[in-house]
Amino acid sequence: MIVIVSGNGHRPARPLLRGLGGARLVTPRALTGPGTRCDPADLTAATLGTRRGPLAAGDVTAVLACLPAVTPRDLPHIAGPERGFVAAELTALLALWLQAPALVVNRPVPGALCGRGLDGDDARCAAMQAGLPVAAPTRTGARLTLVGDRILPATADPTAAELVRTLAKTLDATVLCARLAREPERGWCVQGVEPWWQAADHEATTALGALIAEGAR
Amino acid sequence: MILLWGHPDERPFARVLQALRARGAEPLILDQRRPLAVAAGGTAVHTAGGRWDLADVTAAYLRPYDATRLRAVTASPARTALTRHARSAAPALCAWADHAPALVVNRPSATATNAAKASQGLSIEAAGFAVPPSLVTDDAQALAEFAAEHGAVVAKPGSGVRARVALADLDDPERMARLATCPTLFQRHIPGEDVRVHVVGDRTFAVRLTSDAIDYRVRDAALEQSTTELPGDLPERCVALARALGLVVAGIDLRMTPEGDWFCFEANPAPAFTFFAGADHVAEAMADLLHAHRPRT
Repeated sequence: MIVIVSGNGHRPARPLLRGLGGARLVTPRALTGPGTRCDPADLTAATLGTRRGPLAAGDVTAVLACLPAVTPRDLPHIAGPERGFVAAELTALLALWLQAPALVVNRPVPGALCGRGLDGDDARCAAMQAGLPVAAPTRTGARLTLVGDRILPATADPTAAELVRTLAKTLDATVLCARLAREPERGWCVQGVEPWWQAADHEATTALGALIAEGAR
Repeated sequence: MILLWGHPDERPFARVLQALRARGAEPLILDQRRPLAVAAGGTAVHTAGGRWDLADVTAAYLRPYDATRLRAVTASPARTALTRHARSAAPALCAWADHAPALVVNRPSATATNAAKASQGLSIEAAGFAVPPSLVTDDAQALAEFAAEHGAVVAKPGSGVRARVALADLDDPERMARLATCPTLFQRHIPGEDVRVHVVGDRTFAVRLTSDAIDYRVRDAALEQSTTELPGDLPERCVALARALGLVVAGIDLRMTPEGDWFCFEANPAPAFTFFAGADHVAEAMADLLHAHRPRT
């Protein structure tokens, strides 16, 4: 089973939700107990209690982590004064659960359940440190998505594609949506990153399905 | 240039600043209560006092709070502008701090490990420390089974939110009913004596804490503190743990059982070291570290 974990902030694009047949969407709001049991010493046996019943780690082949953290806005059903605390606790729970052996896209890092590749400031700083050309963010520019080793659209300029691959390697991201600008003097430059799951069209979803199938093998 | 970012009246911040000034350093202070702007994608910082370039920073001590919640901000007539400044400057400064070639105490990404304690526990175990058997659950039945296996169990926040550690009362129906609303971290209660170890670079400063309370930090708890030496290779192991977590400075919570076994509960990335005995030594060591650091060329 493929699981898409997502909050209210950046909802996944429709092709992603519909394109991965049988994928189960898990939102923080759906994480209502009882039923959650996570023993850090045995994450293969971990279970999340959800509205639709328990979700056992053993039944999960891949997880698409599509949120940086659970926020109070994800929990309208929790009393106001408790929301911040419950959001922090659910974030901590998911950080643990995402350590389970299933294929996780992208693997969480401290402070971001969806891994790196969401924060534009972080991406630009990482790019600068890696010696990649960086440009100020604008609303224009080319948007390229990396899924595994595939760059989408397939017609992307090879130089731009290589820049995105290098950026993804720097950010340790398997899937990345980057925005680039082409400057007359410097050529392609990193402008920033966007939530890949919002940019996922039919083509990206198909590539992701293939990546998961490959990982599952 | 040494950078300090946070709330200058806060004790650890003030103590490190004092120790730095005693060494002749005059750090750049980015006060979260004042207007602050960081150029997008750049290293220029603007404050009321002038313009600075983060590229000149050789070492930094970060103790940022959520500035939008600081009383000095919320009570200010200029709160709208201050909040706007804080919301744009904080992510930019954090991104810079995560990648800067400077010595950063501590990098925000490393600091975040403490926001998921059970997850951090996996790293602590990987570094060779024993961690109490743990369970994150919202299920009273699972908790009962865990308690049956391990005996007395404590409940604690699994996130970085500060709350006291308490013995779990499985016979309290109200608490058990509330459990279903939020998964909670439970651990086997480890009897023994607490030792807080402050790691500063490759130095360690240990404090023995004697208290009858389950959580010695509870106000009004009878608490005796004394500086102590760590036995055997524990100092090196604490330094190695901090490094494994990416922390230059850490407050590591250990407990020694009556049988002489050591357990590690967590590594705090922003230790409020002024609460503990021997705080002056920690502040001096931090100032030494920040003052002496020269970036690699």
